[in-house]
Amino acid sequence: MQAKRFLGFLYIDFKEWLAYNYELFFWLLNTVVGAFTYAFLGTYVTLYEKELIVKYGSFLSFLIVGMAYNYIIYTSLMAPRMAINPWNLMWRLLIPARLYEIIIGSVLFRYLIGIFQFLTYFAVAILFGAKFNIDPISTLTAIILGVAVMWGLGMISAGIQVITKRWDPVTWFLTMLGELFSGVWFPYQLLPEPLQYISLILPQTYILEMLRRAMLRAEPLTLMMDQLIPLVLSALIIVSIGYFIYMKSIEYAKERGTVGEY
Amino acid sequence: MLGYDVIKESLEVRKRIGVLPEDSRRGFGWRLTAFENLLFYAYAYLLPNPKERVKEVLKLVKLEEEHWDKWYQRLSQGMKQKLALARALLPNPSVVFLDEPTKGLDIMFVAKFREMVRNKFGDEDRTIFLSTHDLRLVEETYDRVAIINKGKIVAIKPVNELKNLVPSNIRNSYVLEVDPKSTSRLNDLVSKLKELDVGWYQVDNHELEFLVKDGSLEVANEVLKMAINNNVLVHSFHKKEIDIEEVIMRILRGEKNAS
Repeated sequence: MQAKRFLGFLYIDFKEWLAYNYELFFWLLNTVVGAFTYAFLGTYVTLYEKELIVKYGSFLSFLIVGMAYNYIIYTSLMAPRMAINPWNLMWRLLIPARLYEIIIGSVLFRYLIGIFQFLTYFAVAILFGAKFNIDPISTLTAIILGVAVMWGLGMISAGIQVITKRWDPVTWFLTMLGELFSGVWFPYQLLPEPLQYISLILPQTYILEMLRRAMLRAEPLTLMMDQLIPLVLSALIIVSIGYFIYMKSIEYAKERGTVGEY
Repeated sequence: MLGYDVIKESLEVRKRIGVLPEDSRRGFGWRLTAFENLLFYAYAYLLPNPKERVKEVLKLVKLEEEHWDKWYQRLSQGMKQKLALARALLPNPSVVFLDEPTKGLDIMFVAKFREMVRNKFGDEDRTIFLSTHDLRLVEETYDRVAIINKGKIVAIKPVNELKNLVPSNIRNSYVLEVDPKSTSRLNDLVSKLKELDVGWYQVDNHELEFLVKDGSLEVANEVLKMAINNNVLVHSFHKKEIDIEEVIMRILRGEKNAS
């Protein structure tokens, strides 16, 4: 009797899981991508770390910058979406505040705890012997540009979601693929060459590369033009497109009265 | 609204309106207390003395002080509704929109709520838009009523005038209710009604409903006398009072006067 009951639980959970077509598909992909990420980390990095890692000091320093900044990247990408969460947006739009005030206000705290996490990672890494060699202007520039690009992409993603009310491909592409391909855990050059092309189209790759050069090698901006110029251009283009899509989609939802819908 | 363009001057409009949405849980932090939730909105509205204002509105909506420090998720449905009402009133708005405001409220508070709406929450100059299916609330509190059917306004009138939209034979009729034993005598009576100035009538079970010219009480009394003289056992005799529910149902069914 009990087995039958458990079968009932399994049945409804499985049916519900199947009902979310996109989620099922991407759950499978995420599993595969995640497995590959850690497999690469556990094998190639330890085997070949010297030539690619040594220029950043140590693997620990390399890893800490990647992981700490990944959180800021993720927060920036998700921020526009969190700000227009249907549960709150309808209400927030009734407050006599401008949309940008609502958006910034909604994500401010996440950035504060993000910075705290960032600093904690560094403090612990220093305790474990990590060395940082920082150029403050380059570091700040890399962070600002990184946040801007990811905000732009986040606005595109949120804009799609406001209209479709469903999963959007932008966030998935940038978060899940980013972990494997952009060099959070290991230098993307360790990937097989054809896969490195994916790394080269991800903005995080450039952001992380620039940040590591700024924080681990104290490179001034003048030496990082190869990273700086594409990032500045990307930031300008992506933020403009993102802002346009974001505002238009909110207007669209407001006109149709669907702001509060999921 | 209030002289402002709702598109171009939406900030000015938002400063002056309060809203209680149908799903009033929206925009509340579930692990924030009632007080903290309102305090956020007080800051967001840039209200002077935010804490004092929060206390004022919580008292205004009669949310007992012992519940102010409870997490939102631990408040009862009625308390949550009061809190949402407090949020709507927080900026001291000139116009308040209330969507199904009595949903989940206990009967004791509904009576107080009607009183609050009648007093316009302490500001006579305030305009209140109230959307509801609670027809008693409509009858007791509204100045003007708009009836919406399938997204279109089918009537908009003061409550009293709304009744005029119902055909006169329904709103000016008299009702004679008789004992079931007298049903056959009632039918005899009907055949004699032509002798009096009765324009329209209908018999439904033990009830005779009839209409007399100009709603004359004298003629209606003649009908009553005739019934008694014919040994009809009368239970009650009254002018038909049509309530707002019937008015709305008849209007929605299309039974509407040309006027």
